[in-house]
Amino acid sequence: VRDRCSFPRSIIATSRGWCVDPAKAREWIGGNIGNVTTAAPNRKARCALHLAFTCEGLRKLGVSDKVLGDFSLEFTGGMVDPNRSRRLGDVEANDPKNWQWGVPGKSYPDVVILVYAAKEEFDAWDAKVKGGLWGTAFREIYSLSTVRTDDLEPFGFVDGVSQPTLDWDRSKPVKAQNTTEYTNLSALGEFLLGYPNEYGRYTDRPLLDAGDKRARVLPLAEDVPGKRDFGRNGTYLVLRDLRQDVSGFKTFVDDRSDHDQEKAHVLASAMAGRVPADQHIIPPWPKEPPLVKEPPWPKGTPPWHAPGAVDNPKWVIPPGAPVMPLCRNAIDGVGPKLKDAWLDQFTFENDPDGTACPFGGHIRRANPRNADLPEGTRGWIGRLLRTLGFASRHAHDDLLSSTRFHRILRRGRAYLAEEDKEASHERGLRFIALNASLSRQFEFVQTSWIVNSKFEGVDEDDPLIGGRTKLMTGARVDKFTRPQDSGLECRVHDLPQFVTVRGGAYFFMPGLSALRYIADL
Amino acid sequence: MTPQSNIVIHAPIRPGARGDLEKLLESMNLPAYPGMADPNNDLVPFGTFGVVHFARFVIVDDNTLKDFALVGLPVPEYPITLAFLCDFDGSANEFMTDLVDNAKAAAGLRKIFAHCLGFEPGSDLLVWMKQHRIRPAAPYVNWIGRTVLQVHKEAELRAALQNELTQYVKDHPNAGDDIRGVRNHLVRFAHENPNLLPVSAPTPIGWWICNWLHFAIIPVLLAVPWLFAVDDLIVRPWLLTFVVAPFGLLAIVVFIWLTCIATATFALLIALGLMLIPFFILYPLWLIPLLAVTVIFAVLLRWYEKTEPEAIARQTAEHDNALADLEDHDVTNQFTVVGSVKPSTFRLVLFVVIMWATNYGARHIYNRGYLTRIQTIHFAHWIFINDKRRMLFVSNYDGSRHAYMDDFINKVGWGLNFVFGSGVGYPRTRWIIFDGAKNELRFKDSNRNHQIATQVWYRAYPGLTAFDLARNTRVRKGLQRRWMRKAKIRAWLREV
Repeated sequence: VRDRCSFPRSIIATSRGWCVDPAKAREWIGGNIGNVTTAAPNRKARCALHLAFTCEGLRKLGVSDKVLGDFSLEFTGGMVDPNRSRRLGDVEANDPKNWQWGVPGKSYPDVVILVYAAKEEFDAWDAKVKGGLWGTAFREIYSLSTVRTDDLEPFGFVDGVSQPTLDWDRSKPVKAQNTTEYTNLSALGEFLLGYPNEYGRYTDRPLLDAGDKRARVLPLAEDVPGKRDFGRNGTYLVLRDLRQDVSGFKTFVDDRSDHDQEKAHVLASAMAGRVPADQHIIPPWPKEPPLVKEPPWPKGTPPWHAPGAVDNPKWVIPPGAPVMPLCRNAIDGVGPKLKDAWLDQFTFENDPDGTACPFGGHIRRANPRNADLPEGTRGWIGRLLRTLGFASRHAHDDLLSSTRFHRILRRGRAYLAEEDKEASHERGLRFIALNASLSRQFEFVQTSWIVNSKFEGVDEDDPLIGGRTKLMTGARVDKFTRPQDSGLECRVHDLPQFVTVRGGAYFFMPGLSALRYIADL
Repeated sequence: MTPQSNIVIHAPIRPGARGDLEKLLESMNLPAYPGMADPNNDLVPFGTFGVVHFARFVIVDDNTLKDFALVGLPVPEYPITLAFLCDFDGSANEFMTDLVDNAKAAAGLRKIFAHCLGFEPGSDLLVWMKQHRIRPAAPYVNWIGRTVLQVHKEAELRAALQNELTQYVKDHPNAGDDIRGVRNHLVRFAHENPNLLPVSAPTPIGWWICNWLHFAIIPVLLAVPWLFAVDDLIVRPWLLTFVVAPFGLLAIVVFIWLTCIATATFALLIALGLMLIPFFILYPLWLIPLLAVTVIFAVLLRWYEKTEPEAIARQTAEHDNALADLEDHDVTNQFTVVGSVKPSTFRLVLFVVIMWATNYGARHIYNRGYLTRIQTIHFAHWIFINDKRRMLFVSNYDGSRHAYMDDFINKVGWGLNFVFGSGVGYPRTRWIIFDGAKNELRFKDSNRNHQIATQVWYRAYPGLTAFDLARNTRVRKGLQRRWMRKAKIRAWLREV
């Protein structure tokens, strides 16, 4: 969790298993606690292991219904449920009935183990982790391999850029209210149970009586005296397999740009909100961004002009950068690395019309980067008027929820499923997200932002990962609008579906003490 | 402008009739969409009236009454009731007559109300409805004066303009150089198709007068103290010059400033409020009773807030799923909650005053597309039932329920505390507007626990959010303006 660059060359195999022998399974877990990767920074680590369980899995392992009942409804209910599927956009082609795994009663997992290691060491680590017991304790449903792609996802964009920084020192004010600046620094409780979240409160999780003998391995709850915290240092893990139609995407972008390479890059950049990892594009905003003169970084060549054009600078947006001018001021939780600032130091405040980054652009949907009150709200009178709904400067001012309550930690891992006979060369992403509240974080982002065909007043779903599900009225949402400075419309119609959900489930990733508790049951 | 009205018919259900009634109500819905009414259903074909914005039938059965037992109070008993709510254009009397005159709707309503106590085959439908009609303590209308017809016309207009613009840009590759020409073309296009533009009806004079008189209550109250000062000011005119005039000037400046960034009604209230400062400078003794009342109120309030028991059960999966079945089929959702008012005279009086203020604010200040920072509510009603011992709240909002709740907590948590803090089972508040909803998880539990299923829900414009409606109106208004700056034209074209 702590350091995303620990495993630059890792490959991961994610195994989903059915627990067939609970006693053996507990023994296996007990034997592996020492192997589980902790949050302690360790730059030398060359392998990692994480264990996470579905509600069913925990039940089979002997966790009592009383304890399970204290988990959130989303976790106990599971990802696959007709109402939830409707909200998450898991309908039509994404319908769980077509999934490779995660279908209740058929391929619903009890446990997922995430095994990471440098390529040459993977087999040895995998064997060590699984040991002799794995085969008798679990039956593997599906083994999900991944490929090393240097942080690129299959469409060719840099993945995993916008990540919240965790406030490990708990230095953030507990009850920050009505913030007026976007922050990338998240309260620990947004991602780990047992700590205060952005509301300054503790998210519900199972708490056991301190008198319970077995519970002695668990730490005391910070917020409720006399209780032991089963959730402490644990979190919910969302796993979704997303198949990406790479050739379909490239063909589409190419076709809609009259086979003009430069135009194609611009269209692809607008759809993602970021420039493809191997391209430059001319910025869609007319003037040179002010920060070029005063870059937020002290030294080094800003990557704003095209290679070989130093004498006659032609301003471009470099690979992987957002199609938004960067902010002059540092953003809490972005950096300190220069590269992070290039990729992440921006908000959409200067782009209320969506002429730089379209409203529908993927990164704008996934993280609208706003604050509690619109940026620029000043003084107590200003705040008061804004709170009362007045002094709005733009029709879009209050449309979106404050992002600090809706962040997720993402770990996408690309895969190339050559071994799949039905769909040879299937490519895609294993979407992994961590959050302390499934409903307020993952589900909110997915439902209200990503698949919402009314996001920021548009009439379309996400250009990259939308399912193109028509509205109840039959209105189509397979469009993509790029507002132009000229005011003239620029709309692409008939977007095909590029991303299909192939499997998924909600897991609980326990902390070490909870693992010990489970192993001792 | 045609103002919107509502009817709320509320009556107890005959014992044992609930099952049949549920089945009957279900027959009004679209087969694939639980809870979503067929606009042309056999019982009450809402779609045929052309004026109905939203309508719903709800069986009111509060499942949180047991909360009283959790805090050691006797559990009250209420009969299970049926509520029929309808928001429409025009006056309530006209609409009820239309309902009764429509043979199909009249027969359907008779069939439905036959499950209610006191409705006999020989009953006069209109009379019975009027007998069982209650008026919401506070109705909220997103945009007073926007009719169903206008909504549909403006949506059509925008679609037509969009098509025309696409075609025009195709035919004129350099259209961007002459942005005024593009607008002129669209204006001409609209004039050639006058049926695209909505025709607005004159405002009923009676409604207009009543509305202004209602608004005048607060300004008059704020101005009344000055009546006592008239004599003094005549005798000592220098007071007028040196005390009143500077504040008067300030009030005028504030009024003009606020009129630009808020609403004129709000600006007037603030300006008149400011004028109380010089009054109290001249007559400081008047502050004594005022302060005394405030202190007594504050002490009482805090005492109640601190000592009232708080018991909030966790929501159950079963209840959550039953409600979720009815949600997220369209871009807009329904919401019905029922709860009890905290059992003390203090709370009841406070709640009534708060509801009056809410009504006043919704009617005169927040009637142009936003309720404080929330732009996603179409219609909402706070309705006292059972002699003000219980409250029924209904709303029609855009987006999913979680978004609605989170939006509320973060943007108007204070407002939620204000209007719901007097309910049993609401998270503890502090000074009426603080805490409460900020206790996110308990608030969400409380909220879901109090929510009940809406058996039949009708809406006139599926697929359109309140933002869409406001945007479509902006597009139409932009078309009707005589002149626009180029930057404005560009912004307008982007919205088309």
